[in-house]
Amino acid sequence: MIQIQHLEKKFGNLTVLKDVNVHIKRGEVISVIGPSGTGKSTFLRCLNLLEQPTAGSIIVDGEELLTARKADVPKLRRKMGMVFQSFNLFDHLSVLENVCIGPIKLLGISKVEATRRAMRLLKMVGMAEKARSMPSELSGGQKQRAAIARCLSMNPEIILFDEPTSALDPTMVSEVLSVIRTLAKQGMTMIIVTHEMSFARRVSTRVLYMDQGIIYEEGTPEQIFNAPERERTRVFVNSIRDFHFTIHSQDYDLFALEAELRRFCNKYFLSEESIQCSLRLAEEILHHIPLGEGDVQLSYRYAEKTGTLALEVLMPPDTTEVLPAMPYRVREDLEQYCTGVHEEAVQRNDSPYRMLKLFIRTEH
Amino acid sequence: MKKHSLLITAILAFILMAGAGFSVATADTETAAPAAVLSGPDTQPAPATAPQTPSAEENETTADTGEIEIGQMDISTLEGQILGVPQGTVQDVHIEKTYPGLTLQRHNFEADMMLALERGMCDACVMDDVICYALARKKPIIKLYEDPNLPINYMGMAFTKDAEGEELSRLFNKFLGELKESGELEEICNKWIYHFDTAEMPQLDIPTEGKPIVVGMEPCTEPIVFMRNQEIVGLDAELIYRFAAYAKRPVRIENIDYYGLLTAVAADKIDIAASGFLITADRRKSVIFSDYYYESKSIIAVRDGAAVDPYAGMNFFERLCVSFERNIIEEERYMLIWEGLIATFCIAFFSVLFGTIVGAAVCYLRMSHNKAMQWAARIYIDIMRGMPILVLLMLMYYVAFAGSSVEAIYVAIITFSLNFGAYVSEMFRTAISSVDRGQSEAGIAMGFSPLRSFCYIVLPQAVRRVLPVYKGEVISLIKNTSVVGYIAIEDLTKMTDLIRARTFEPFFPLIMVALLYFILAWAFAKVMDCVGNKINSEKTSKR
Repeated sequence: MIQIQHLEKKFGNLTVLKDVNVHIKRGEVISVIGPSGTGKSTFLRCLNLLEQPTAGSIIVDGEELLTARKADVPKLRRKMGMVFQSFNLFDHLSVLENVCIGPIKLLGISKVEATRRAMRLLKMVGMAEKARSMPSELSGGQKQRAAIARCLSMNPEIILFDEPTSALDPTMVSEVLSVIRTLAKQGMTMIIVTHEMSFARRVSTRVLYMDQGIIYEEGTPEQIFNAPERERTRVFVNSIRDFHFTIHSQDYDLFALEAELRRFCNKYFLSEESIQCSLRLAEEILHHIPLGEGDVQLSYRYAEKTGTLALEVLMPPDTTEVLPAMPYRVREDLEQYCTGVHEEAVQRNDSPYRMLKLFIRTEH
Repeated sequence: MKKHSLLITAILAFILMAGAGFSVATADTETAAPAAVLSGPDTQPAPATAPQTPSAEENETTADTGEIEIGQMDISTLEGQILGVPQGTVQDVHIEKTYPGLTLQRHNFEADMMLALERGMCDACVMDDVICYALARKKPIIKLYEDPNLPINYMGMAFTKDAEGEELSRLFNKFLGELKESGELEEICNKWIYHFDTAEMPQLDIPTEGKPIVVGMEPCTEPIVFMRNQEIVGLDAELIYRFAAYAKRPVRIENIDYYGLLTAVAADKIDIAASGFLITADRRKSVIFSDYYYESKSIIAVRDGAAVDPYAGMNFFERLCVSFERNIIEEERYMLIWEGLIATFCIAFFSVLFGTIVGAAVCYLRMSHNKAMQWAARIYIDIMRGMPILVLLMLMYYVAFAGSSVEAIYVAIITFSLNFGAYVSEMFRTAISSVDRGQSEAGIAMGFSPLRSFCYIVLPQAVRRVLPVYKGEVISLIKNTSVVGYIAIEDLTKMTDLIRARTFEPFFPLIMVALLYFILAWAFAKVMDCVGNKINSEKTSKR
């Protein structure tokens, strides 16, 4: 239905979209996820030309959008409804008028007919009761549902949702998501930019993970959320937060490490015990690995979703295996602090590095 | 509810002001100070001397002027006193140079000067003898004195300084010479100077076909040229009509502010300026003067004793009625006010209409992406806002439209539209920018073209936001139109000047006009409230 090739968008010197290629088929529900600032919204806004792409092509039902005559653009836009993060209901019109204005002014439908249809749509999104209210009298969730009804009033073939729940109170998110879910069940083609991971997982047929201006990884929800193939995707879907500290020599600054570690742990509400564990573990490990033959990188990774905290110790190339060389007593000590330890050889910058991975106890 | 409270407030304010005005008048007349300066031997009242008394009318004129005594005095005895002078006249310049010890108080308007004298705001004033008889007749407490050291002035008509004007002035001089020869000129002068209130205009045969002589006058000075029964009469008026009959050409009178008259002649707006102009070398540089038709001495007027309160023995409401009768009903002066109101309304209405269109256009330029257009709009706005509206008005009339035959009222409408447009364009811009970008984006995303999205979605919201400030600007425009009198338009303010010049009472005409401006502004505001409500009503009533 929509074929997007080599889409590129630059704002001045800033490249937001580098090279986006995707084919959207009728009936698909596509979730677009990814960190902030990676061009998810820009991608959506390029699709209906709210932003003019700098290069590439968008082919809608065989018609090239970017080379279309200017006069045809509004017509092509009608095929694509859009729901905004900030609702953008027309403030000067009542809910009913918001839903009627498009059909009356653009589709040439009579007022009576438009009102009848609008009421049906409002009923569908549960807003029939509020038909005569002004947007300023509605809650965020109600506004967004009215906006969805307005979008549907134009009979779009596809709806673009631009973070539809980001501006909502947590209590109102579900009412909007249920409406979207209903639409999905009815077979509406949709592209949803969202931060609601569990919703994306349940409702979508395909998930696009966007990062660095491209579609970094795509697949079914199971693939993306359960078995992401690429590093950045994994970090993102597991909501992994990390913190790095580099050790240059034996005389490293333990207090600096402690201070930074404490700041990191406090940010993600980790317990005092976890902080102590992390610190002791680092001290212990650093005592038993050779220092001074190159930098040693300590990485604490915290997966918010699972609540696991891991310490990765990246040792300089050509280090011999450290774990077997450790005395048994030390390894017993380590077990006080972690639930598991393993060592592996990793390839970084084409050099054989050695990595020690320790899963820190966070529950005591 | 709101309507009633507004009306009541207005009436209360009116009554309060009325009360204050009258109490001041009474207080002044009671405390009117005797003129202390008149103690010298020079100040003995001398028998009346009527200059240029024609022999044929000797009896009548002596009988009439006999009541008005003209004494002798040296103006230097007024040292330390405040002396009222008509601004920019020969007397003004002469006295300032010759008697530096005198404090001068300059007036634009002889009637105001007399009022200042009567109320004690100045101690004496200087004027031409041609008008002093009329003033003294109206104000018995004023005593007149002559100082031979003061300049003698010659009054003439001013003509455009070009070939046409030269020809016309030659013809006028010929006409004047014939009048002088036959003694008719003296007769006419005496008739108006001593009997301005009863003198009649002659029946003349003035053609209506052909190119008219356009004459600018300010009919605010008895007996030179003034309004009586909504007719322009007076010495200069008669001379001009007689000249028109003589030249066998129709005549069109333009009512122009005294201080704008010479500019108007110089700018070829009018052919002749006639309001008792004194011939001076300075003025000769920009206009051609005819031969003089009257030789006028400078006269000093001094307040002497208490003024006769024309309202003595009346209670407040009787005073109000008599004053109303005198200022509004007499000579059907309400017709003048009505005409003035129409003029003010037209200027305000059309300026708002066209100004809004100009404002929208400038706003479009200002908001366009084209840098040149933006700058053009910005410069336009800065210039228009940085110039006093009166200066702009005169520039338009005397410079931009000089020599063109565009009527003054159109010039005023154009000027006020340009000015109003500059102010409201910035209001429009702020209102449009204040509408969230998401609103028009949502419209565009639905399939509206950018223009339709603007019309259906942004504009209604912007109008609602701009209306309150826009309303203020409209009211301000209505009040600003009061300066159009400077360019020959008889608006509300100008009409009160005309009435004041006859009745010498500032109170009623000014209160009346203040009230009318208030009502006009209120009506405009009301109309805009209705528009605003119409935009909002559908919404609020549904709830």
